[in-house]
Amino acid sequence: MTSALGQGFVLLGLIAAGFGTAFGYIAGVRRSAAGLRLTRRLALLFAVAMVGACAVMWYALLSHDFSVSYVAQVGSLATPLHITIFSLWSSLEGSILFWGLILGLYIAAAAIFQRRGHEDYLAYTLATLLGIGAFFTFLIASVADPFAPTPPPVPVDGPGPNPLLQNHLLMAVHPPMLYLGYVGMSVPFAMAVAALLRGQLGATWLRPMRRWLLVPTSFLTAGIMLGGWWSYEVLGWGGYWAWDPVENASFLPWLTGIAALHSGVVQQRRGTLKAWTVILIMITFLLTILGTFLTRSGVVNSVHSFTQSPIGPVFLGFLALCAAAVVVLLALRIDTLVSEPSNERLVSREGAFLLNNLLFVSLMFTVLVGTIYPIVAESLRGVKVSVGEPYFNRMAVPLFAGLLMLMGVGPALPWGGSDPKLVRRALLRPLPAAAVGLALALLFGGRSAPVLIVSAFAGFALWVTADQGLRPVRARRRREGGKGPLASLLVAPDRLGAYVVHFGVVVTFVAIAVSSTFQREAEATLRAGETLRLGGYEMTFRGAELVQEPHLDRHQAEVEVSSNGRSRGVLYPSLNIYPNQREPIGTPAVRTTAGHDLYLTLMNVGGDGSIGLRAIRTPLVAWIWIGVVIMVAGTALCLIPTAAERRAAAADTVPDLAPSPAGGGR
Amino acid sequence: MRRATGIPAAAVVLLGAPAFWPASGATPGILAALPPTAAALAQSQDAGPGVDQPPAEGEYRPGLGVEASRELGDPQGEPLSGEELDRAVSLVAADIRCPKCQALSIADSGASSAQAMRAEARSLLASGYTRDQVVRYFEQRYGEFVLLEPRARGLNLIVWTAPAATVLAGGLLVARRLRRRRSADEGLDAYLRQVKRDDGDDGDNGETAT
Amino acid sequence: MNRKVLLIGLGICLPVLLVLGFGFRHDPQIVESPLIGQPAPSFRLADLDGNIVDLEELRGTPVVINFWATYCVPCWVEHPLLMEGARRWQGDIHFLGVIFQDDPNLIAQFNAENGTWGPSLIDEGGRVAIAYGVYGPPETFFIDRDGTIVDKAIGAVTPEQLLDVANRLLASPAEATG
Repeated sequence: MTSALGQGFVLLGLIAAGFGTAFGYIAGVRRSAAGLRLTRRLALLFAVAMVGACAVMWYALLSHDFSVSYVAQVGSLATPLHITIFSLWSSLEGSILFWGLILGLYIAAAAIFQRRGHEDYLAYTLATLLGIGAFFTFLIASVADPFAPTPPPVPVDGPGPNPLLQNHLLMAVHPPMLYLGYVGMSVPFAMAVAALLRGQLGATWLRPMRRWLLVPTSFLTAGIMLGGWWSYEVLGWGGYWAWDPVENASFLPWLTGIAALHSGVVQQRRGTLKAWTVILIMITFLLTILGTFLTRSGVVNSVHSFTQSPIGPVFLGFLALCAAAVVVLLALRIDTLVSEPSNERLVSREGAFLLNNLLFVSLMFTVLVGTIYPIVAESLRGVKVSVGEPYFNRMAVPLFAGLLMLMGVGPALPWGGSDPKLVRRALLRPLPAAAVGLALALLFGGRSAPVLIVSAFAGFALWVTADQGLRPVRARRRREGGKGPLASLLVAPDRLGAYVVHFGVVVTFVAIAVSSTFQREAEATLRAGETLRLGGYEMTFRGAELVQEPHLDRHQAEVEVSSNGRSRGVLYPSLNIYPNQREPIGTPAVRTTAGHDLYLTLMNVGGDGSIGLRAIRTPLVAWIWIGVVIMVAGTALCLIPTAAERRAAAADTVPDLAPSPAGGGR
Repeated sequence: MRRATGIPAAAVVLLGAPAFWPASGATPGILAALPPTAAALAQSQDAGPGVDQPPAEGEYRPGLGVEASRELGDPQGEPLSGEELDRAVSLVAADIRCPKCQALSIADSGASSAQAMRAEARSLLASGYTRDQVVRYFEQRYGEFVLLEPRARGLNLIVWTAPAATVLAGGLLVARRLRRRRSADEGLDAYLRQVKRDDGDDGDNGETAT
Repeated sequence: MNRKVLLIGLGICLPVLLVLGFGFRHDPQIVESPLIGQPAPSFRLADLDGNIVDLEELRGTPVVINFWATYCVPCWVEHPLLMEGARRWQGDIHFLGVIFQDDPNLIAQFNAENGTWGPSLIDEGGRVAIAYGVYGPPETFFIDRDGTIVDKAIGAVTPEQLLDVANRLLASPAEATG
């Protein structure tokens, strides 16, 4: 019964998406208002169907209806309520259903928020989005059907979700954030497709497109950060980023998404780089599909891989189809997007943006090649190889350092950059800040080149960011003297937001550089009463106990932490043992301070009551997460309409946002 | 810990299923909460009471196990000890992939086999094998797969040259674009006027946008 | 039609798609051992009762070395087959079990309940497992009379596999030793 209801909703979604795609394209070609209305209704129907399907699945999970195969696969009577709710995305079929839900919500949002002023683009946009929706509902209805009835006999209990996913509440938010990022990239993609099909990309369409790009990029940022945080809090190896293939897969669209956001700035200001921005958005979308494929096909060795399943080839087919469509569409239509003649100097704001794009795309390509090279080696040489952390660090660190430098230099440079005197002044003024950064690094014992370079660049970038971000305040005071500082900042919240994001990036960069350079660790086998020392800390093992909880047994060690003769509290690193799982899963205990983290993992518990304890002291870890939170906050600021837009909205017209006469391509 | 020692029904169900073993990430594989065993006791005795240092890895019962010299030939370096040894061990460990884990090095992983490999590296380095010899030892046993950084030879050169090649190719494109500027010098005057105006209102592009 | 865009696009997308397609032909979990065709690393290990087994001394007779543990389900699966094999080729092929990261007490208990097909050797510190490049239990190495590793099974050994390799091992005549 439940199975049939769920499958019914999925089928409804598939039908709505299929017809919506067809009607949308027809309405686009014929510029038919009635066709657009119908397409919008089908888009909303698709969203309703997805919401319905997910609601049915949640109902089945919560009522432990093991006659639904997905529930039999991930459900368990012993699993706590909140984990049962999250188990919707804890395994392959459910995660694709959840994916469908998010896509449905995005499509509905696009259909609702973009309905005014963009009729000629909207039909194509919705058609493209519904095409993607048709693929996913097809997947759910065929090879990845979570609603399939369990073959009899229906079990009375299930194994419960993967214990790694049960271990920490971050698992509740990390996948949804990533999905919101991944799926959301479909929207700017569909809008770019619409622009190509229309054969024009004016400022009126560019602005919402950048916004729809900004939203998923920021979800992706948050999702990647939460994944790192989860890895840090749960996996117990003391790090947050292992360059695992699936981590890389989420990183790829993030890199090109950010590149597109930056090239969009140039397009908005100068009317150049139009085709390039569109290409970047399309690459970003293809990379999200590639990433999903890598995660779900099992072709790469990864923490995150779901087991091998027939879904892999189907996904590869979809990826191939999308890639072919994108290439052909670009080849046919790219010349219709006429950019203003380019006229850039290397040492100018435009030049910095070009280099920024060069570095982001190179970084993406490096990570992509490193991630799929093992498959190449296996196919051509028949040998399994690994491309791992040492390689990626060696390659990515210089590129990131370059980006950090550009983040300082770029915003300091004037647009056009034609006046050498102006350029020289702009580049000289932040130098003292760079010197301060360098001096601080030296003071705290930084001796390695990467740390010193990052510190100097970070100082430079911080100064420029603050200077540029607060410029409206000074300009306002000089000119009118009227408005308060906050009000003048909010005249252009997108501009302010951009610099807030840059500020967050500097914080995160510095924290990553410092934390990876100055990490120290110690390891020992301890019996009760014995002490492990590390970096000023004394960790005394008091004893271990076995805690029994409904769905797990936990070995918990009591470790008293003190430094400088003062007690710093008690930490409880533990090892969780789940029924039906062989390997116990460690949960580290972390003491976080503003300066550093003390990170304890229980390696093992001996029969004689001794424990293997590993302690890691890492400086500034918390600032990595704080930096990302700042970035996300900055993005939120960017989404606030500018003063011009608010006025335009009040007048119910479409604002012309291009300041230069070159701006519109209409 | 619920460890079945008999062959339960589950095994029958799995009979004929493809081989699998839960390849979990950095899970410390251990002998948790078991009665003391000969091996465990021997290990804890090795470690000695009240240690502040990691247990002396690499001390094995003499006469048993494998003889490294038969597999590796003679040591080509100086025996290391103390901090120098610690540093050498972590350098080697950072480059060797933990065979059971995903993408983690044996330095980062807490899995029992990773711990064993670290101990082996320590023992070899302590008896004078060079870093290169130790890495080669692991590579000979486990295959190229355990090297987290592929050796720069043959097909692997793809990975090593791709980043530079991308930057170069992209750089050329950017350079060509910038060079085009000179040919467009006629339009420069108008452009400069435009630039001047933009510089003036750089502070509030939102305002000027109406 | 912009040919340049078409060519560049295809030039990048096609290789990537081809590579990914090839990925399906391989199981990412299985890594070929570089030791096949190489001399088997020699070792001396004690079994649960303290008897020493020296691989060197077994030269002249084919040897099957199985790395296993009680927590590994495929090990349970292949246990009856190994029992059968050890009985069938008694005296012709030596069957040795090496404990992979497990507690000897559990092994003893398992053996008491399910029977044994050969000595269960205690690999202290996992050094022998490292010398053989064992990724995880069970892995089975087949060594001919000359002490060369001729094959390796990853996961539970199947009857066909065991029969095939055993026939090969028994067919190959000893060269120097005998």
